Amino acid sequence: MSVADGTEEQHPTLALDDTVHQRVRLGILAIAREAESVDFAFLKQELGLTDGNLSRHLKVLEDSGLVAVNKGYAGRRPRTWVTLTPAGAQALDHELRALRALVHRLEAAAPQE
Amino acid sequence: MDTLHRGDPAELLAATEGLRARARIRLRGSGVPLLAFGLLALAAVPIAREAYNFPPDGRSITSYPYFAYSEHIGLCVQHSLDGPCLEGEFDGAIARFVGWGVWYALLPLAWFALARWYRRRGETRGIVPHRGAWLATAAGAGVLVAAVPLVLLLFARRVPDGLSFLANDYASPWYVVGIGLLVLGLAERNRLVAATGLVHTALLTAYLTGLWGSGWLPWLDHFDGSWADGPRPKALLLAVVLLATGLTQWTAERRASAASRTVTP
Repeated sequence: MSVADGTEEQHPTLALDDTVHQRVRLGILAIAREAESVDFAFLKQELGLTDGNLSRHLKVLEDSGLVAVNKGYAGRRPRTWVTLTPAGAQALDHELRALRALVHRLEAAAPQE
Repeated sequence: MDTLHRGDPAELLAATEGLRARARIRLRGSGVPLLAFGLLALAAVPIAREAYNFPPDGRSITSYPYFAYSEHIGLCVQHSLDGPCLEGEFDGAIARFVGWGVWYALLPLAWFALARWYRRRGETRGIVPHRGAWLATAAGAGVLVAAVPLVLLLFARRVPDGLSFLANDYASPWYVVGIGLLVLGLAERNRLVAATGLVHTALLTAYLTGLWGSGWLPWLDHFDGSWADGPRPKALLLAVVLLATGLTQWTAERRASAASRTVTP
């Protein structure tokens, strides 16, 4: 960490958000970022999760205001749609920036082979 | 937080980007609309001459409403300085006016039907695409194409020839599709679709801005003893562009979709 110019650069790990950084939740946000809304079953299949596991992660994201969950019906079939909120989009972008900075720092610090 | 070593963040980043890329592939669906618009363009080739609207004496019509009005009031309104009006010159003008109106409404309506199809397809697949950008752009293009000549017709003393064609030409409503495809391609990060939209829009602009009878296309139509740019080959070229890229895109989507289903997340 350079302090030569009097400003201390924050370590990228400090910018990582525990709610977003978790692998499954990051995956949910990443998929939802690309679409207007995503179905529960689609997320379950893409991420290889059980119903209960996905529900728990969605609850965490919903409670944090990062996604909105809407339940409805397609004919007689119940559907659950997940939509990224503006706060969720911002959080995902922030997380990805922090991850890229961390990767960049680790690569720079790695011994030359 | 788990202990991070060198591979973790890079791996997580790559996995996240991979999920996003796969979601984008699953969202892509422009192959079918490209083919549909290509078939519509192909079906419209026979009427391209009427839409370009060469009357029997070979003079171009500068305003469909004006011609329809002329037939309606039963007057032969002189529209050209160098010759008298001919008997029956305005026959069928009202029918052409109606056809022009339908043609102007058809393509924007088809574009909104496409947006509806995209949504239904997304709901079936479990992932609904963002449609706001390309819907709003196409709507904006449609409003501009219709409103600019109308405003000029109402308020300007003399409508420039280029804008007069914009109001009356077969090519004009196609701007909704061309510009819409460009934005759809950008939204889907699909270079082929974006390039198709760009080529389509460039062709339309060339059609509208090309000098009359300049023969900038290699094929020409012989008409009334003189040569003029052929409307039908031009319309056919629009159809070929859409059909060729539509077929390519449709094939690519099917392959990508099949491949993404076989990859383990």
